[in-house]
Amino acid sequence: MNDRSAMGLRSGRGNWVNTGAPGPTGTIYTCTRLRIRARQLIPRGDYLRMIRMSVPQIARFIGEHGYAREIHIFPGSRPDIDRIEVALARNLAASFREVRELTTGNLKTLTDWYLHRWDIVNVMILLRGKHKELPADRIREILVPAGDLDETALGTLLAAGSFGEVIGGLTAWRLYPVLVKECQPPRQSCLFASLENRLWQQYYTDLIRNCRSGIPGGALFLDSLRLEIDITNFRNLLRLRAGAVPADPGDQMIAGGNIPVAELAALSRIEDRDEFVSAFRKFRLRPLLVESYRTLHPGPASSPGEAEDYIASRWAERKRPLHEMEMAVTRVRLMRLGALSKRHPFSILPVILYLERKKYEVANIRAIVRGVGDGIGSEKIQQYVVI
Amino acid sequence: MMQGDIQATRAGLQAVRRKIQIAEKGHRLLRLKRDVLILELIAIAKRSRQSERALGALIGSARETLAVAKMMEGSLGLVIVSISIEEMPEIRAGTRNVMGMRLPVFTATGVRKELARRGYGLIGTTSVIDEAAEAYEDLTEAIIRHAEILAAIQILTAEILRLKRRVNALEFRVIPGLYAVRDAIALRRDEMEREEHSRIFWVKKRNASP
Repeated sequence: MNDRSAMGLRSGRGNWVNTGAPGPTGTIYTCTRLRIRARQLIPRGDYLRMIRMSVPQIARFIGEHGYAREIHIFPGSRPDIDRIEVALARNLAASFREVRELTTGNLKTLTDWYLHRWDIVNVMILLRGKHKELPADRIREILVPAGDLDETALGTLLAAGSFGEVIGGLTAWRLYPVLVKECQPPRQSCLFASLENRLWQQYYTDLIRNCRSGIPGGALFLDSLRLEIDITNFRNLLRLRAGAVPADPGDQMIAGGNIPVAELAALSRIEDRDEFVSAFRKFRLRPLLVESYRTLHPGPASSPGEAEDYIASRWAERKRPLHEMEMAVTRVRLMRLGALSKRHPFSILPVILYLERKKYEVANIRAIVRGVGDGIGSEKIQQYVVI
Repeated sequence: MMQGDIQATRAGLQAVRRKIQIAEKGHRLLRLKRDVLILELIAIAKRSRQSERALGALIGSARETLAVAKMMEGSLGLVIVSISIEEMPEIRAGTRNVMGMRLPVFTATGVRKELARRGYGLIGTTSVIDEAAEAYEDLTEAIIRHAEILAAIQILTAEILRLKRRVNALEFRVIPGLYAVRDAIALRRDEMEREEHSRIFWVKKRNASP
């Protein structure tokens, strides 16, 4: 082993070494590695090239850009879109696990908390899969073992014979009390939508409490988390509005964001367009939404008033689609996160930025492969790519 | 046709006349029913064309939203959402009466669901899932409506064809046949009357001669 590898500086995913230093040295090392790693993610120009490729060409291209291990396990030279998707999910899980292994000390604690969200995704897949009696292989393909529940733990749960046994096998899981509470009295199934929402709400509550416990870097993490909560809540508010749900949206919201749930609930009760516009002008997410709208409609003519009109019209008419705006908000959020991580280069932010960018890299490749496979035009595919 | 069965008597003639009367009445009623059913079929066919056009548009838009949902969430993400459904839609088949015909009426419940009743959590998903789910709910409702129309068209077409055969049989076979029998009986009875006159004439003549 040469000096570089001994220092954990060898490039290539399989060769990353945890330096083991929990203090500032470990943090600096990890953040630097992740910043370099983030720079190695597929750049904007390559996405635009990929949009014009065929599916086998894309498979070959991503095989040459960090996905070799997952893509090359396919026996044929022309992997189909579903298999590419499975490969992408595996790559995502492997990348996240590597980040967990790379981080140390407080950074590791914060990263683990952040990645714990994948456990919710996996547990919900397992419960739904068992409830619908899906084949174990099919369920395994969908799992992304990036959280506390690793491949072995998920494999054990997958081998469980029934829905009840899956729940029984999760006694050591952090969110087990929520799971049990939602599925009481014992029954073959529980209302999955409600369970999923409760798990997410509890996850964010725990995360906020942990961040406030005084852990170094917790405050920065909390800021990014709050923005994420606000965006999710406002998105869901618009979705509930478009879905004409008359019930109090407070039940579907996450507490702990910068915008109180009560304010969102009050916003949801507004029917008059002018009243909404005046309330929206005081809304804390307005600058972000206006900026996102400007990325959708670039040019000098795009004024804040237009963005307000756009959102107000969607509000008043209970209208979709919202995904264009969602994509735009994600782009702006990542840009802001990138700028913030430059101001705090040795904090949790570079880690979160890498994890988020990696997630969207996989989402972008998937969108391009699916779009090309379904014959969707390149301009339309571009709309759904976070670049 | 019926000459072998019916005797050339006054009673026989009356029986044939009654049959003609019934056949003509039945012919008129069946023709009326056929015409009404044809009018109903024309109306339903018009609705079917509209429904087919709407269905085509809905299929196009549902495919488009599904393609977008697959792009955004991936087919694996959609598998998770699709297995989330806990309440399956129910379709109840009833009937409605058109000129004694029982045409199907399909009543669907639970096809269109509220956002909170679709089975997937709101927090862990994006709006493309809502759009795809809504597009397919619209499509399912349209398919059920279209199935009702198509089933009605099938039943009406079969009934109209059956009525057409019966009306034609009455018009070109049964009624002309009965008229022929009636005429044959009348002819036979005239002949019998002439024979009787002739026989009486000759009997009277023989008895009058010395």
